[in-house]
Amino acid sequence: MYFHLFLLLAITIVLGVILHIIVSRFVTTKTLHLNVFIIFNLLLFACIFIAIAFKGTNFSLDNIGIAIIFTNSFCLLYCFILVGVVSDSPTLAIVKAILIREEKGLDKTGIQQLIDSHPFVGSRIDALVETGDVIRQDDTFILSKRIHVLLKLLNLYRSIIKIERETG
Amino acid sequence: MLQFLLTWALTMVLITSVDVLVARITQNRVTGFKASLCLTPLISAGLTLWLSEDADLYYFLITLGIALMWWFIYLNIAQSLESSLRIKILFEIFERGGRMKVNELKEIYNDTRLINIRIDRLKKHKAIHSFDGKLFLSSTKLKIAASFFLFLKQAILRQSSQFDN
Repeated sequence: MYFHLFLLLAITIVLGVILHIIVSRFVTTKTLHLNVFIIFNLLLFACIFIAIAFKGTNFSLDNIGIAIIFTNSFCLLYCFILVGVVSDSPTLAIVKAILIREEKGLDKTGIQQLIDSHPFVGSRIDALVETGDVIRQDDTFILSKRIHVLLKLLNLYRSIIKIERETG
Repeated sequence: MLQFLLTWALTMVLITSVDVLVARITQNRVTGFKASLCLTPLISAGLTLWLSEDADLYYFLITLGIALMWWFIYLNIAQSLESSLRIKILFEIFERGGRMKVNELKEIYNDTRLINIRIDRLKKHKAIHSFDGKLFLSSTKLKIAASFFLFLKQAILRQSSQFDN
């Protein structure tokens, strides 16, 4: 009963990832996340159209609704992966630096080179200012109202979990 | 459609409740994540069976797919509180009433301190070890994760680091 819907979703996800990787190689990283939603949704409706027009498959409105939720959930998941792809993680950068040196190991000079070539803190602050989450006013950083609300929610979650926050 | 939405919403409520409960009881964040992941297929299948009359194998797979995707999204949000540098910086400003001097922030967060904290954390979790003043990798999982992100970075962005240019 749901076989065709399952097949539709599988095709959309696989083709969507391939298409997004190809498109991303030619467009700016600024639209990387937006492109995910555009590509996957266009592809979903193209697949639905092809299935109905050429294969005579019947999709009820419920099925189309489920397909939209499934596809956009995947888009969100894919965007979270992309965050890790676009911004270098300090932990993974350390691992990568060790991997490059393999059996020789990462010595103090290697660690210093890693620090010098990866200005993590500056890049994150710049990104926060660029997105408008943080406003720089002379020598002071001010949180935007939008991010203040989000942090209040995250703080509430943190107080429920009861985790002590670490720096760095 | 209503049944599908209800299954999705209830699955999320139960997954997050399991995580919060287990994390609080065990005082271990990872145990909470693992418990919620293990229970996700059971919760999803149970709710699908209970709420959907016309469910077949493929419907089960679709609802399971949605449940696992949202577990991953939840994991990313929850984990960002502990591992995301951006969120940590934001909280630093938030805890000072939403305003913070640039120099004060830069005193707390600098690259040398950040890398050293991460190295200590990796050592603590036995992901890396030091021998003769040098660092070596112990965790295969981290090796796979680093290789996976490096592959995606090269495939999507055609570079191996955001600091390449």
